[in-house]
Amino acid sequence: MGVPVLIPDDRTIYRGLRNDNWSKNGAITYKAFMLRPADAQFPIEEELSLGMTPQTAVDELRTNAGIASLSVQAVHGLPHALAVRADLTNPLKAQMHGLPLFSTDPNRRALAIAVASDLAFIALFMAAPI
Amino acid sequence: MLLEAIGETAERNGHGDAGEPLPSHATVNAAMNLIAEVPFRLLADADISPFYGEIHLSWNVDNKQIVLMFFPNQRPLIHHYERAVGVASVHGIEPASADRLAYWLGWLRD
Repeated sequence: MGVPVLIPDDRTIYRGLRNDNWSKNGAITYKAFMLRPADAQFPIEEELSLGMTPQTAVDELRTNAGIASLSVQAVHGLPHALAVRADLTNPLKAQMHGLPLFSTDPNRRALAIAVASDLAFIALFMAAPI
Repeated sequence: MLLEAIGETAERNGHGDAGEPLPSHATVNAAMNLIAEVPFRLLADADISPFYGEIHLSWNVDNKQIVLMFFPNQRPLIHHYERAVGVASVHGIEPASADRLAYWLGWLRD
């Protein structure tokens, strides 16, 4: 299986807000862009799951607290070598590659919060589609 | 109120996020003990939430952010961050104490 294609800069991608603490007063918080640790059910998260439409950003969530929309150009323009790539298993999904993995090591955690905060600053809150 | 809100993080979890481990009572107590030593006037507008067994308190003012993190088995940390448009954001992390939190919350509102 090859490397998934890069999503073009003129597209917008969407992050479903799984938790209500992923936004506050209409602003997206850094927690929306932090990868999760491994648990008994899942391995450590390595890419951030995204939708190519608002609907596909939330369609696998049991509940949601809205959506964060991001310009792909703005994501690729951050100084973190992030890449928004197609999801090979679903053309209506995408993945963000290059985020720091979950860690409690202070330096790794610092970088993860900084990158996630940069993403939160360029993200716009949207209400979930009905 | 802030101390009560911290206590409640042990009993609720992020909306819709089944399976995420709750902060332990020891983690909650560590958060409450540190926060109790910080002048109340500096603590306004905190956002408090669990994060995979941790407790995070965060404050945002304009382009600045402070995140105070309490872990299950590790000393708490303070992350300070300032967004800079067009260049890399400035950030750092250090062990948390009441004095250092007061310092950084003052910086947040400078």
